[in-house]
Amino acid sequence: MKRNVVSALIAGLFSLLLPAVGLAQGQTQKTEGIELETQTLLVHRGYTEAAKQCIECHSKETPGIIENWKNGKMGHATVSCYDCHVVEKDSPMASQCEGLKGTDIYTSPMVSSKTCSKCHPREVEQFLKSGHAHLAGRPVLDIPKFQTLMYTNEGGMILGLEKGSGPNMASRAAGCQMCHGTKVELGADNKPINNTWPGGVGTRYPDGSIGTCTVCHTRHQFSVSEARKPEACASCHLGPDHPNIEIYHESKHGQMYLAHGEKWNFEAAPDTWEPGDYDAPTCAVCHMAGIGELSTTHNVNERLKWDLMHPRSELRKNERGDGEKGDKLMRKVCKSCHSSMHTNNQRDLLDNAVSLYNAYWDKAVSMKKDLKAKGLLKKDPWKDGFQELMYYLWHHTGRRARQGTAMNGPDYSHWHGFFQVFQVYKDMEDIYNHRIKTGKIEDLSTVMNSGPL
Amino acid sequence: MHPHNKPSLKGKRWWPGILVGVFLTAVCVLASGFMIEVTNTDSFCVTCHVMQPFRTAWTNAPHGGANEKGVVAQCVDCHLPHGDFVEYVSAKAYTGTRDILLNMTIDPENYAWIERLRSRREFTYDNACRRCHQNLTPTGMKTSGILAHRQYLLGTLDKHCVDCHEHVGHKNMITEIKTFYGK
Repeated sequence: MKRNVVSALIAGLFSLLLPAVGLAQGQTQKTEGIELETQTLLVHRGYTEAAKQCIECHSKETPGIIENWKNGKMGHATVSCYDCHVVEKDSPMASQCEGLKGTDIYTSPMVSSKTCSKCHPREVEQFLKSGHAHLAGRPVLDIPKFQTLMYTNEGGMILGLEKGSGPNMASRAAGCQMCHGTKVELGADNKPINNTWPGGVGTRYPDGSIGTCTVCHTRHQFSVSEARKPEACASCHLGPDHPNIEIYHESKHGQMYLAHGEKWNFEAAPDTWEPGDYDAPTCAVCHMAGIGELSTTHNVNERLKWDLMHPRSELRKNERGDGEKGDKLMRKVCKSCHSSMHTNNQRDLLDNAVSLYNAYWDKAVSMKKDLKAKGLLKKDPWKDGFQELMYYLWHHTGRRARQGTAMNGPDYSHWHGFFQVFQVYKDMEDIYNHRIKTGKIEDLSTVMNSGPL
Repeated sequence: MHPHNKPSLKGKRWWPGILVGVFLTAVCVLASGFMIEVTNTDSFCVTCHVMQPFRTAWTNAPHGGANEKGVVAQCVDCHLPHGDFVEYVSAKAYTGTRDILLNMTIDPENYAWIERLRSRREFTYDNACRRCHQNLTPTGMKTSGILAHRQYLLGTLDKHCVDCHEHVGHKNMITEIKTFYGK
């Protein structure tokens, strides 16, 4: 009996305490039946007062960002919001969020490779030498043909849309710049305007810095395992003009990744990520990893022999790398898993595919030269069947044939590649012969009816 | 030879000697420890009018004394090389002369100071930084700093101290320049 009274008293005490415990756990918001709990983080670990305040305030204001950050290695290494986002008051990108108004702390939402180089100088130095930095932004910013495509044609100036208006810029902002990057423009409050931010890997920032690391190591977790998976590359390297992820998936390498890649170890330290952690390479293994005797590199051009992107394939040189050296390095990659016979066959095959494609291209160039000399080319290439087909010859079919061969994707090398290369070439030949014979340009372009998809 | 030509001939023989003597004396005085000390202070540097905003920005920064310990690095501590004595004195003579000439010839209000910041590598020396900052991975340094400095110490980087620490030594320098020249 006595025991019953004691337990009833204890139970009563607990029931009194329960509401207090509930209150102490934090605020609970009720939104149409869904209970959302706002989490507040209190950190006491190696941060300055200002840095702690950023974390504590943002755990309420932008909890998703803080979740990603605390689950990544930045959080473990006590690299906080403050370390990457605080800039000098003098910086052209300096602004203040509501929480900072009245203080002497200035931040920027834009974080370029220059910030990352504070802790990862070697990686950024290598990255800046690659096609992922300055060269990536060139089409959007420096090449007039690309600008005509973006603004005049895609941007609807041909329909009468106002130059520089929101809809006129939409195609560039939603498409081109998301991979290539563009130059960030700032408003009066030093915040980005005109849809110039965020952007792709070659973004150019107002402080003169170039490059966005968070394209591959997405913010705010900055996961190395994420960047080592082919999906990291696939947000740009896909589609009709350079279907690298599709080529990879149909290759034996990709087949193995899709079959049991989830069991692979993507977390090994740089330079130690070796066969055994994986049993087939991802993009990062061949193009970047410190496999075998090679060192890790963030210069993705370093192991390339040919330029497989441009109208005519040439051995890489100058700012695009060193093709001879690149070939030697890539062979060292292959050596970790393949015999030299296998490697040599594969590399010879690529050389032959490049020569075959170049032969088509050189013939096309010679036909175009003739037509130009006789005044048989339209001024607007997008209304001229011959010129439009010539674009598809290199930009779509020709790239697929070459890159499909380089990465062992037979369907892309053949059906989307060389099969269409010869078809496009034959159509160009017919147009050429017709124009030479009649001395006239045909009235209509029929390209989009027969153009390769 | 006419006798009254003798003194002038003698004079001709002496003049070059006197000139060389005066020049050497000037060099010796300027290169003396006393003159080096006198011209090594911020108060001397700021006698060139254009240096004022830079001095203000320096005073507000930890290198200018705005630190808990009150340690101050003088202009020359960072802006002259601290390798050997000959390098130091010759850089000092060259820099000093150039600065005086530029001070008299440039239009400071329209001079591209901000562009000049990009060349900071040329007038801020690593051996100067390293004279004070001998241990680049001290106890208590954050992992990020250790990672970055390790690459530097291994010599695998084409980086100077000021490539990463671009605002070191002067606080809000661009603002100070703009305020001073009324822009």
